[in-house]
Amino acid sequence: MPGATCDFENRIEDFLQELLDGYTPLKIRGDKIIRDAILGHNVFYTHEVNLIDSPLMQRLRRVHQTALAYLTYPAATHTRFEHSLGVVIFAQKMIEAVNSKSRTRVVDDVQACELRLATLLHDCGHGVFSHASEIVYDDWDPTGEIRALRRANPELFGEAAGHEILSYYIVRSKQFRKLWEDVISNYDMSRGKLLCDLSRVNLTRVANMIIGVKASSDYPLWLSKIINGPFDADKLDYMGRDGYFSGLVTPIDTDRLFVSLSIFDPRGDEPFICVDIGGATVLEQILFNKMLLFSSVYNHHKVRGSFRMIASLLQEMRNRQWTVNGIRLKSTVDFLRLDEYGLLNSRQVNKELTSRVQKLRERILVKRALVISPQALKEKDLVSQRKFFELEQQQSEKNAMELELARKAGCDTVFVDFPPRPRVEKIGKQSMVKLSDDTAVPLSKLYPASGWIEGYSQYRRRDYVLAPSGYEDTVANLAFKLFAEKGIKLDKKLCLELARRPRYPGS
Amino acid sequence: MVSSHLERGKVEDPSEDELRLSDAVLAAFCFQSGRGEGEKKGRRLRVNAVYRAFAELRKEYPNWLQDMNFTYGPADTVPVSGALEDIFFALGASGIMSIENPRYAFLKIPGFKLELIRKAITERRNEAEQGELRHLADEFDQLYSKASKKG
Repeated sequence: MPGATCDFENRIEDFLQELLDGYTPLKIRGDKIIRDAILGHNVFYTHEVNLIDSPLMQRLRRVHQTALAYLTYPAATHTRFEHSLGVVIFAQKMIEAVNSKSRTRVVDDVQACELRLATLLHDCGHGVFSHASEIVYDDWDPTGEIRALRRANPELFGEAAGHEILSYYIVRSKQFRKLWEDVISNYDMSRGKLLCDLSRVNLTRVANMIIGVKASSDYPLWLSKIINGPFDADKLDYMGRDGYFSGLVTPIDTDRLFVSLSIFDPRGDEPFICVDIGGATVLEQILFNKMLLFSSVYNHHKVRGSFRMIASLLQEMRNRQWTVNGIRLKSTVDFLRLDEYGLLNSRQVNKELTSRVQKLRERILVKRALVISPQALKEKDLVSQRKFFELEQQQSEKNAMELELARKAGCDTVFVDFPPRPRVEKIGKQSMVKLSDDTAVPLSKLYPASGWIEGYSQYRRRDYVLAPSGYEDTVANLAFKLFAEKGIKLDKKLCLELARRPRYPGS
Repeated sequence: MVSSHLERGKVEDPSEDELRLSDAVLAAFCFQSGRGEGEKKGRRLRVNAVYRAFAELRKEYPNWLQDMNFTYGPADTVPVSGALEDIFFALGASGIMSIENPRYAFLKIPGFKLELIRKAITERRNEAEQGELRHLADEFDQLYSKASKKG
C-alpha cells in the first residue's frame, strides 16, 4: 500500500501543478470584508484572501454544493465556494465563544489561524458535482483508490468521506506548501491585521483538522472537532445554506449555541467541547434539520433523479474512458480536473454523451415509475423483508435490475434507487451536554432524539424506480414482476399511489 | 434506444467469497453456538452495547469488518460507525428489526425472523464459513455481555 499511497500523492501533485501553473499571489492591500447572503459581512485576512483568489479555491465556484438540485429548487445554485467561506465564519464564532468562556484563551493565534485555514480548505477536494462524483469513485468502487487508502489507514481515514481524504492530501502536498510559502512571502506586514506569525503555521496540522483527528500531540482533539465533529462549523453552515437556497426553513439558533459552548476538562482525560443544557435544544434543531433536509431536499425524487443521471454519466465516462475537454477519468484525482460547466456544455464528444448531457442541460429528467415505502412490504411477509434488505446491500444486483428493466422496457436508462439516509448517531451519542452539577453526558442520555429521528426516517423512507418520461407504466409493470421473481412482493396500489400514478396499467 | 452503458457501467460488489458486512452483522445476531435452530426466543439488544461490541469485534476481525470503521467520541461515549448505522437503518426499514419505543434503547428481532436469517446465511455459506461465523457470533456475544454492563 505505501506504493499506492505514493502514486496517489503523485497524482495530487500533478493535478495541483497544472491547476496552479502560472499563479502568483497578488499583493493585496489588506484584509477584506466579504458579504455573504446569509451570514452578512465578515473579515478575511490577507493571507486567506490570497488563498481564496487562488485557482484551488476559485475552482469551487464551479462545484455546486447540492449537485443538480437546482433543477428542482431553482435557487439552489450555491457552490462549495461560498459554503467554504461560511464554514470559516462559523469556526471563528466557535473559537470566540470558547475563548470568551475561559479565564485564559484556550485557542491561541496559531491554532485559530490553522483552524480557519482548515475550514477554508476543507472542501477543496470536492470533485465535479460534489457527492455525485464521490459516489462513483468511492461508494461504487470497492477496489478503488479511496477504499484502499481508508483500509490502509483506518485510524486516519476510517470515517472520513472521500472528498475529505482528497482535501487532506492536497493540503499536505508539496505544491500546496509552495503556494503557502508564496503567500507568506507576499504578506505585507505593514498592512492587514497580522493574525499570527504565519511561518508557525503547520500544514500537516491543518490537514489533520480537516479529517477530524488530533492535529498534533500537543493540540486538543476538540479543536479538530470544530470542523469535523458531531456539531461542527461545517454542519452549521450547510444546514442553513442548503435550506435557505432551496427555500426550506431550517432554523438553527446559532447565537444560542455559541453562548452555551465551553470546553469541559475531565481531569486526567482528553478535554472536549460541550454545550450547556440550554444549548441542547440547538443540538436537537441540528438533528431535526438534518432529517428535514434529507426528506425534503436531498432525497426529493427529482433531486435523486438528476443525481443518479449525472452519477451514471460520470461512471460511464470513467468506464469507457471518454475524453471530455481533454480530460479522462482515469483516477480519482481526475474528478477534480473535470469542470461542471465544461461537462454540461460539451457537445462533440460522441452521440451518446451529447444526448445524455443535453437531457441534463434541458432538464429532461427521469420520472417516478414506482415509489417503495416500508409500508409496501407486508408486516408478516418475512421473505420479502429479507430479500428487500439483501437487495439494498448489493449494488451489483440493483445494477443488474436496472439493466434488465431498461432492456425489457426498451428505454435507455432505469434507476433502482435506494437514497442514503441521514446518519444521526454521532450527533446523538457523541454531542456532550454539561449539566449544572459539573458533569457532562451525551445528548442521547437526555433525549433519545437521534433514536426518534432514526425511527421516523425509517417510517418515512422512500425508495424509487425511476424511468424516462413515457416509460413509467411499462417500467412499473416490469419492476413489479422482477421484484416478485426475486421474492419481493410489494403493495402495488401503495407504490403507485406514492408515485402519484394511481392507475396501474395492468389493473 | 437500448443503451449498453448499464452493462459497461457495472458497479461491483465484493466477490461472493468475501463476507458482506451485513452478513457479518446478521450472523453476530443469530449464529451463536448456543442458539440452535428452532429456538423461538428472539433477541433484544441494547443499542449502545451493540455499537461498543462491534467496535471491539472490528479489532479482532480486521479483514471481515474492514469497512466498518468507528469514530470514538469524548469521555467514553459510544463509538459510532456510519456503515453499521446504515445496516441498522436498512434492517429497520425492511421490517426485519425494530427499535423499541419510546427510548430507542433496544433493538429487537423476533425469533422466527432470526431463524429465517440464519437459514438464508447457511444456504449461502459452506461448513467452514459457517464455523467461522459461529466463532464471530460467540465473540460478539461475549463482547456484548461485557459492553451491556457499561450501559
